[in-house]
Amino acid sequence: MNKYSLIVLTSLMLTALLSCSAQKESMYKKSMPLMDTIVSITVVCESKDQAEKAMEQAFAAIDHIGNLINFYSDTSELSAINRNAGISETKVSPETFGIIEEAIYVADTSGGSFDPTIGPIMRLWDFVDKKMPSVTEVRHALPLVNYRDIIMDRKTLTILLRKKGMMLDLGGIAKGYAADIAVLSLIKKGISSGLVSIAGDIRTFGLKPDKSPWTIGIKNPRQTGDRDEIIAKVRLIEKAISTSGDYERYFIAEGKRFHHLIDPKTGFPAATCRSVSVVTDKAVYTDAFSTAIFVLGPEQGMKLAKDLGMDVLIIDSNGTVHSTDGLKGKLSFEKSSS
Amino acid sequence: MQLPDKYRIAILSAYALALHGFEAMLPSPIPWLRLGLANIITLTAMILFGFRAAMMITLIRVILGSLFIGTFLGPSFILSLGGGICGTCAMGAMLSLSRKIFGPVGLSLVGALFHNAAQLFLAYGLFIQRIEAVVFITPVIMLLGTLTGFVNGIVADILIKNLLKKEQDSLHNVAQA
Amino acid sequence: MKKALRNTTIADRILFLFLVIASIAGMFYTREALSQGAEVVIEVSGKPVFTASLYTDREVPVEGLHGHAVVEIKDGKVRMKEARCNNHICMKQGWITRGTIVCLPNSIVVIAGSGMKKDLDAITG
Repeated sequence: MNKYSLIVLTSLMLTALLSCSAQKESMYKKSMPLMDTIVSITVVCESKDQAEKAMEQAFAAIDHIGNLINFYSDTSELSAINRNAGISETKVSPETFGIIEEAIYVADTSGGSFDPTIGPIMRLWDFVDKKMPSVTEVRHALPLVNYRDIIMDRKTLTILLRKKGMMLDLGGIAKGYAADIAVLSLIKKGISSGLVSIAGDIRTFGLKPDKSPWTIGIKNPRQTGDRDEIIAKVRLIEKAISTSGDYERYFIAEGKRFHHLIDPKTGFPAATCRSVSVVTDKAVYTDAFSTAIFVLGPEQGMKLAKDLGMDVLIIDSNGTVHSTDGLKGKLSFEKSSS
Repeated sequence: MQLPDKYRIAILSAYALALHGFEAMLPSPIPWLRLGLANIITLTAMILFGFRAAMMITLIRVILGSLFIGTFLGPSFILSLGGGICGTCAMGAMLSLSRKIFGPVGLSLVGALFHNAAQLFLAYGLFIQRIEAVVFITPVIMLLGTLTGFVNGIVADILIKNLLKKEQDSLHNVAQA
Repeated sequence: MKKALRNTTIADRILFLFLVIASIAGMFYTREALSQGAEVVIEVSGKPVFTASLYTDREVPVEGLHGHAVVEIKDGKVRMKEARCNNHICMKQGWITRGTIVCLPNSIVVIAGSGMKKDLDAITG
């Protein structure tokens, strides 16, 4: 072999090795406070400019939805619906209508374990100032909780809450819905791969630049420190994931834990699970069904998931893990978890 | 093994130890990263006297070396031992495959590669739990190992040539006498 | 010495070049695998305005949308010491070592901790 071929060989090796590490597509990530929480968007794109523009649009779309269904804002469409409860119907935008429609679907399919009309009950609980309602207060509020009392008119895009005092609270489904909308917005802007996370309601699409799936960490419901924050990792391809847990908003009173996942039928926190993570195609369903399945408990919740063809990871109140077969090969547990 | 061989091994081991000790006095940014000067001896021994001799010299050098310096059975001893054994075995395997493909330089590179790889594995498995740290320093160590391996190979080559020449000269003298 | 260099075989030279190139390429590749130490990042309206180590005690003045706020870092923990907002939910959160404190009216976000482990793209739960 002569010098010439040595040079050629070297150049070929150089090119091969460097082109492996310098990929054309890069990941761009941005976070913003919206919808009362942190929203994070990651996109895979060749051009930084295109990535920024797409993310900006997606954030705007999320913000728009946040404003429409903000429970605490007087100017939101949600507040208008609630103010008109028992009085008149309220005209809403297609997005709001869509969210309520999906909420009713989940309520129906879960036998009422998820119910968007849970507003009057949620009002009675304060997890920051640690206030809980009395049994009497709950008893008075329960009749107002019934998703069947939502009257919708598709043609006029109006919503009517039948009884006075009824209140819609879309907190358990709006973030998932918004994540789906954000993904659609990104795709419209030419992004073929990315991840949108709204406070743990996550929707992924496409693959990362190295063609690997998106890896999502599931929080340990009984985390004791830095090391055991994550209990499991799941790899997603074209799927969404959400988790409902009894550790997100709660307080402890008289040795018992009171958390924000209230059973619409009792008005008190559901007590059979610690955390439920649902994996399926759309984030609107992972968001709402993770709440529904949490309330249903390990057996009935697992059954619901299987009937609907969704994958779920349930950590019940004893710490036992139940998962659907569809997660085999995609789910791995961390060694440092209890 | 014959007496001259044992004699040679002892002398070479002494040289290896001396080089090892000398090198241990040199400052280095990363605790166990060494120039591997003693590997020159190992390599020379392997080419001239075979695998067994080279392995013996390695073991003697590592064990006695750590006894002298005071790190016997400590972390650096384990790393040295693992690296030394792997490196020597790799060189031996390569040599037994074909003496023609690689010269001393190539063998030295192979030895250095396996020596470092073994040390990184051991370091990760036993001492450093954070894989990010190991992943980060691996290319650096590989690069340095390649460069020192190259130089060591050249030096070994020169050493071998000189030793062979001395043998030839002494044989020549004997024949003439 | 030159003679020794000329004495190297083809395989020797190829191996040498390959190893050198591979390790240099490896360095570029692992640049991204660098993990950050525990730090605090303060963002206003989505833009980072301040980054510091979690282990250096200090008080950081931050300009939010409604006015002045103060973020305090002490003993490896961080909190929102003062903020001009209605319900002071951000201040009620107290000291955190990881996670975030959000003052929505001021659009201030304080992120504490060593960021996410590099092998995770997001965390749910």
